[in-house]
Parts: sequence; C-alpha cells; structure tokens
Amino acid sequence: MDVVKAVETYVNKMVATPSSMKVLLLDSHTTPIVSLSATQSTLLSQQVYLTDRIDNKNRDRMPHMKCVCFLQTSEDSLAALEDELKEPKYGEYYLYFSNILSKSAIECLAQADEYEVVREVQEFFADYAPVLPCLFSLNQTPSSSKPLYGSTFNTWDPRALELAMQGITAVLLSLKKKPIIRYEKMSPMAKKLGLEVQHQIQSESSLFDFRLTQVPPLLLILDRRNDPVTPLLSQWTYQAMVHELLGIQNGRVDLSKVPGIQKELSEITLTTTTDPFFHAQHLATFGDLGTTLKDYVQKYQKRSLAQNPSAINSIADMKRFVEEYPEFRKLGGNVSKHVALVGELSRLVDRDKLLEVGEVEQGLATSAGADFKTVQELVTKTGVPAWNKLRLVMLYALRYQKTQTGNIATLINLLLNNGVSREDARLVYVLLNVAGSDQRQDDLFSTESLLAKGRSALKGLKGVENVYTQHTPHLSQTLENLYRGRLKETSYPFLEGAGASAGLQRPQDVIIFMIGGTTYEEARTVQLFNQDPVAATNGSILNPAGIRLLLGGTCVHNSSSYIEMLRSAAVKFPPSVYDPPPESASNAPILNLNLGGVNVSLGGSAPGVYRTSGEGVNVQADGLRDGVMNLLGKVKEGVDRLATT
Amino acid sequence: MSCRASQTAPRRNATSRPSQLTSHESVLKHFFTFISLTRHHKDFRRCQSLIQSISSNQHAFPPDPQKPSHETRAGKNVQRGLAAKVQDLSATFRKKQRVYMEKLQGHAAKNQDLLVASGAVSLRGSEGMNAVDDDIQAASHTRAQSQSQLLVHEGPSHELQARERELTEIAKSIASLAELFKDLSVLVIDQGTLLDSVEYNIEQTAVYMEDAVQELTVATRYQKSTGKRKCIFLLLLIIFGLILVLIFKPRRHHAPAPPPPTVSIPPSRRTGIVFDLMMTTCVLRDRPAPMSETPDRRRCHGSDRFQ
Repeated sequence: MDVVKAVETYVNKMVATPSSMKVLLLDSHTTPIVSLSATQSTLLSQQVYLTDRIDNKNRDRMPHMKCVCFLQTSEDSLAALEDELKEPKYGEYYLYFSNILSKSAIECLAQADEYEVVREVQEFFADYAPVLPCLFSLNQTPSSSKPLYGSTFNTWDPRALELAMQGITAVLLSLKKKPIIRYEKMSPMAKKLGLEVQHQIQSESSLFDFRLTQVPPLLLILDRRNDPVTPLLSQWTYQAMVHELLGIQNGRVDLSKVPGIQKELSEITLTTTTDPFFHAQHLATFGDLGTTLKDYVQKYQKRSLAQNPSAINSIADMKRFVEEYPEFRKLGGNVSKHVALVGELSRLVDRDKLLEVGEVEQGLATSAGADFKTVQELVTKTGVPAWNKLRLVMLYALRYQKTQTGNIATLINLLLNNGVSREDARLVYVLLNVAGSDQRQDDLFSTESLLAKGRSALKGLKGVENVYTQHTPHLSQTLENLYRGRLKETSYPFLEGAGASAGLQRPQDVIIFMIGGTTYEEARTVQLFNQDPVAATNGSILNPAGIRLLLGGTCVHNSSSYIEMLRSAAVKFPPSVYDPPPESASNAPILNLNLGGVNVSLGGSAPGVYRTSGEGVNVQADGLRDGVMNLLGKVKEGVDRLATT
Repeated sequence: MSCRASQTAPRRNATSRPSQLTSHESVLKHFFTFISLTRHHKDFRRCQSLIQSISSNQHAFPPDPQKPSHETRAGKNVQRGLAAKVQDLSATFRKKQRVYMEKLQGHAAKNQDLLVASGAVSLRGSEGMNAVDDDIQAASHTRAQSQSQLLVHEGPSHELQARERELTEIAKSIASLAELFKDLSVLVIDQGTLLDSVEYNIEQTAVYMEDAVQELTVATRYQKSTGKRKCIFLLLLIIFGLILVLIFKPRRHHAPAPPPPTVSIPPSRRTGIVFDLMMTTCVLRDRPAPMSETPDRRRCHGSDRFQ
C-alpha cells in the first residue's frame, strides 16, 4: 500500500530494460509522476542520459541511443508518439503506457511503426502522482480550462470523470486490489464515479484477476463538499504549512519571491524520499519544527568544526575528511534549505498576523466556536490580508450558517468595506450553496446532536495540547467509525453487487478517494492512523485490526486553490449560486420557533442580505456595461480599420 | 588548503614515527598501502580525465557553442553519471582499504604480542639456563643500539633522504586526491537538490526549446521583413520610375505642343472664329462670284441657248 514504492518499481523496471545509452521520453502528464518517484541521479545510474518531452519537436536525431517512452494514453500523447515512430530519431523504442491501452490504439501504433523500431509495448499503471507513501494525487487541479464540475455541483465534467476513473483504476491495478466500493450518500458524483470504476473492473476482469484475499479491500469514495472546512484553515504542520503559504508543486517549492534569497535557493525540492530531515519532520508542528531545526543546525556546526582545515592534523584526519566531505556538503545544502524555508514561513506568519487569525479559525472549525466580535475585529483590522479575512468569514458562515444568518450578512458587508473585492465576497454565498449544511450529510462541527455535544465537551475537559492544531479533519471521524466497524450503511452505502455480508466484514486495506481534492492535513491524519491508530484517536479505538489506509484525491488543495476551484466552478453553475442560501429567508420562521433568541438579529439582517444581492445586480450591470464597451470598442476598431484601408 | 595540511601532516607523522617504529613491518606495510593508494589514484585519476575528455570531445567539433544541443546535453549527463559512479567507487574503495588496514594492523599487533610472549618465555628460560648468554645478548643489544645510533648519525645522507622523498610522494598523492575529489564533486549532482529533479531538467530543455522557438520567430520575422523590404523596395522603384516618367514625358511633349491644356481652349474658339471668318469670307466671296459668274453662265447658257 505504499504508492511511492509502487511507482518507483515501475520506473526502475522501465529504465532497466535495454542496458545501453537511453533517452527517456515523457509527456506532460507522466513527467510529474516520474519526477516524484525518481531522481536524475537514479536515472543517470541506469544510463538514461537524456530526458525529454515527446511533444518537443526539435529533438536531435541520435540513432545510437535507445528510447524508453512512458506516456499517458491520451490522444495527444498517442498522436505525438505516432509522429515520432513515423520518423524515428532513436535506434529502438520501448513503449510503456500509464493506463489500459485500447486495441485500436495499438493498431494505430503498429501502423505508424513503419521502420519496425518498437521492441516492446507494456502497460505500467503509474497513472497517479505519488506525493507521500500514503497519499496520491491525480494532479488535476480544477481550473476554468480543466473543470471538475459539470453544469451543477452534483454532476461531473465528462473529461474529469474519465480521468478520475482512470486514475483510480491505475491505483487499484498497481497495488493489485479488487475492491468493493462504498461512497458518500450525499454526493451523486461519488456514486457516479463508483459505478464507473466498478464497470471498468468488470469489463477488464482479466486484469483484475488477483489472488483473492479473505476480506476484499475497500474503496471509499468521499466528496470534498462534505468537509469544506479543512482546506480553508491555516495550517500549522510543516508540509501543510509550506503548501498553504508557498505551495508545493510536484515536490518543488518556489522561493524566488522571498526577499533576499540566495540564487541557488530560489527554487527547492521538498520530498520525503530525497530529504531525510523533511522525512522526519513533515508532520511536525511549527513549534516542534523550530526546536528540531535548531538541533539540526547545531549538529551541522559541530561537524563543520570537525571539517575545519585547522582540525585536520594527521593523515587519519585527512582520510576521514575525504570520506565524509560529500555527506557533509549535502548536509550543508540541506540545512541552508530548511533554514531558508522555515525563516520564510515565520516571516509570512508574522506579516499576515496568522497566529491571531489561526486561533480564531481553529475555534470556528471545532466545537468551541468563536465570538462574533473577535471575527468582526479581525475583519476590520488593517494588516490582516484580505485573503485571510475572506477565509475567516467563509469559516464563520459555514459554522453559523443556520443560527446567525444576520451576522454573516454583516460580515460580508464588512468584507466589502475592508478591501475584499465584490467578486471575492460573493464566494461566501457560493460556498454556502455548494457545501453548506444542506449539502453535507454529517455533523461537521459536532454541534447538532446531544451526543456529539457531550463528546466534544468531554474532549474539551481533557484539555487541548496545541491551540493551533485542535481541529481534526472530518475524515478522522469517518476513519474512526470505520476502524470500529460502525460506518453506517445509510450514510456510506455499498454499490450494488457488493454482497450481503459486506457490511459485516472489516477490510484490511482501505483506499480513500476524495473528489474535489484532498489536503495535507488529511494526509497527516491518515499517516497517523497508519502509524498508531490508538494514539491517533486519543485511545477511543482499543483493538486496531491492522488496517492500512491510502488517501488520494483529484489534487492536493491549499486554501487558495480550493477557493479558486469554487470561483472557476461557480461561473458555470446557475446564477442562483451567488444568492444567499434560500433557507436563511424561508426557514427563518421555523428557526425562530426553535430558537427564540435569534429573532432580533434576523430582523436586522434582512437589509444587509438584500444589499449584497443588490450588489450582485450591480456586478451584472457592470458586466452589461463591459459588454457594451466591448461592442463599442469593436465598432471603433472596425471604423479604424476602414479608415486605414 | 588541503595541500598545506597534507604537507604539515606527514612531517608531524615523521617526527612521531620513531616512537611507533617497533618493527620494520609496519613501515613496509604503510609503504605498500601508499603505493597501492597511489596506484589506484592513478586509475581514478585516469577515469576522471577520461570523463572530462567526454566534454572536450564535444568541444572538438562544436555544432553550436551558444545553444546546448541534445548531444552536448547527453554528453554532460554521461559525465555526471560516470562521475557519480567513480565517486561512489572511490569512496567504497577507500572505506574498504581502511577496514583492511585496520584488520592488518590488528593481525600484526597480535603476532607481535605472540612473539613477545614466546620470546619472554624463551628469555626466561635462557635466563635460567645461562648467564653468559645473557651477557652476550646484552652486548649484542648494545651493539645493535649503537649501530642503529650510528645509522641515525649517518642517516641523513641515505635513509632520511629516502624517507623524505617518500613523504613528499605521499603528500603529492594526497594533494592529487583532493584535486580529483574537487573535480568530481563539481560534476556530481547532489541528491535532493533541484538539479536532481527530473521535471526541472525537462523544463530546462523546454526553456531551451522556447528559446529556440523565439529564435525561430525572430528569424521568420526577419525573413518576413526581408519580403516586406523587397516589396517596399519594389514599390519605391516603381514610384521612382513613375516620377521619372512624369518628369520626362511632359518635356518631350513640351517641344511639339507647347500649349498646355489651359491654352487649348482658345484655339477651338479661334478656329471657330477662323471658321466663322472663313465662312463669312466664303459667303462674301460667294456673293460676288455668282454676280460675276452668272452672267457668264447666263452668257454661256445664253449663248448655248442662242447657239
């Protein structure tokens, strides 16, 4: 269940076969996959002396080299490969595909292979990016050009569905799992994806012919919309923090915007496989990280004293120096990298007043709640970036969607007065419509049922270790239920054909897939569960049955990518998505009956709500005006053109 | 820095040596290992120079020195790969060597201990046997000592010089080792750095590619602009030609037909006038003519008629 190892073996197999000088050709999809699992030096040691993209048209002809291609089974890559085979630039070709290759595609390739240079064609199911041993990503960050949702937030974009299905199939095939499938009931997308995967498993039954395990593995398909809180929070553990504040792209971090950075550190790699310090600390909280980094630096200093020229007095010293120097140099590079990175993180935390914001955020995300006034203060405070204000209000809206609609409207107005653009402020309502409490199936804040309230109160009694990491993602609760065998079939049903006794068995291997992107915080949860489920749940699981977990998602989100996803998706949704959720108005009387005290605030809120929606109209008017301006511009242009000719 | 350190270090070792010089064996062993070290050094050195010759070969017929072609990139990567391999090998070699030396030294020490132990037993035995032997031994010992002292006195001429040479040899070999090391470490990519990322390397080629594309666009622009230039030149030529025509054609017309179009209007009038005049003259001329002719005709007619 280690995806990094799985992909690594695939890559090693690929480059090992012809033992002579080789070229490795990749496409845009497979490049990050190979990059995350292999390094340039491992490739060099296998005599891969050139790596290039297959769509690079001006590669030189090198008939003395042999070529290994690792490509996606997409049309673009196949077309590029056909062009390549028609005019082969290298001596021999070994073709590997990242997914199931259709017969017609093979026929096309055979026709293109006029010079008979192809020696081998194989499918290596490494169609996903292995980010951590227990986390894979399909690397499809939703954007306006690559949407995830169709015309509503309950339907798939057909291309995205296809890719997600292919990605999951590849994961299953590379790990040799033939799972039964469960999905989150609130999400029609999860069900659709589950059906697609099951259909693929059934139609490629010869591929999925593995040795049967006693209990079949489980594929659990979740929807991001059931937990919109986790990707919105500021993060306080190393890897998640770097991703939130700087962004990790395929194991690389861009530091070029850091003031006063050295040139060789303007971009760094950050993966657990190549960096031992990061491997040890990627789950550590920011405070712990500081102390361990200090120790690390001291260790380096001690060694640098030993490597000092004045410390070398004898031949034995010299020999030691020669032996240890490469490692010492590596250590030096690593130390300066992490020092720069952590320095930048703490600078950003300071600059954006993240400690203050983070504390309130954590309160909003857990059962503790947060005072309306403190949120109001932070929103009006200068020095807090507009982006953080928006996140804060979003969290507040999610938390108090039903109880304090008036406050939400007031906060949105405050946002507008405090440097947040209208376009951004509208997203609060988009979020409520897409992932509000009516869309979610579980009690995210454990505020609704008495039992949950009691449990959270108990937790509160135990005390909190760290104010900034008290939030646990919703996934952890789901996993806890799963470990106990109490995951309800009503909310996480099986797909048809799973068998009647499926619900009674406890699976050994669980693959969790999150539609709409997962986060590093959830990856951390999964990793902790894998290491020690008893500690991860504060002792509420007593007999861990040795369940192994693997988490995956369409991408790995940070708050900005999540909000960008909402923004780009909302454009295609019906325009009502920008309106305040209906229940705030229509459900108000019922709410009033239940909770008497809210009445006043609701009454006060009404104008605020309407004002914001009125501003929506303004935006439309702006759009109209823009359209007219455009038209005028075009007319003008036409006239100009006429004038010039 | 490494050079200086290496030179001071052997000297210090030389001074400390006499204390360690219990047996010639260890000296010999050191010597042999250094020879082997230098020999292997030479091998490594040769590897390194061969690796560097890969790039020099590339420089021998550079296809394009500014733009790194795929061939040069492959060459560079070959260098890197081989350098990493050599570095690895030399490191393991050195480690193995050290372990072997330690083992050997351990053996020697053990042997010596055994010898001493057996010697002590025999000495004790001889002590019990004969006192004269003891004296002889003592005498021979002192002789040996004096001999060795003599040797030390005479030494500078032979042995010390040899040792000095040996030491400079070692220093040299270590300096060359350091150099080899530096050269290799320039070539080898450190793990965990950006250079080690496959994606980064591919992106670099993409950057080259973009550069190439840019160059191509510039080139096409030039080409297009030469086309445009040609066009402009042609148009200019045509304009020039037309201007020439404009200048020369009127002049040619100037000689035979000076009246410009503005003057050409009166002639028509004039001709009209002339015509009118002619007409009038004709009329005038006609009038008297019949007056003069008719009588003749009449006369003729008359005469004819009369004749």
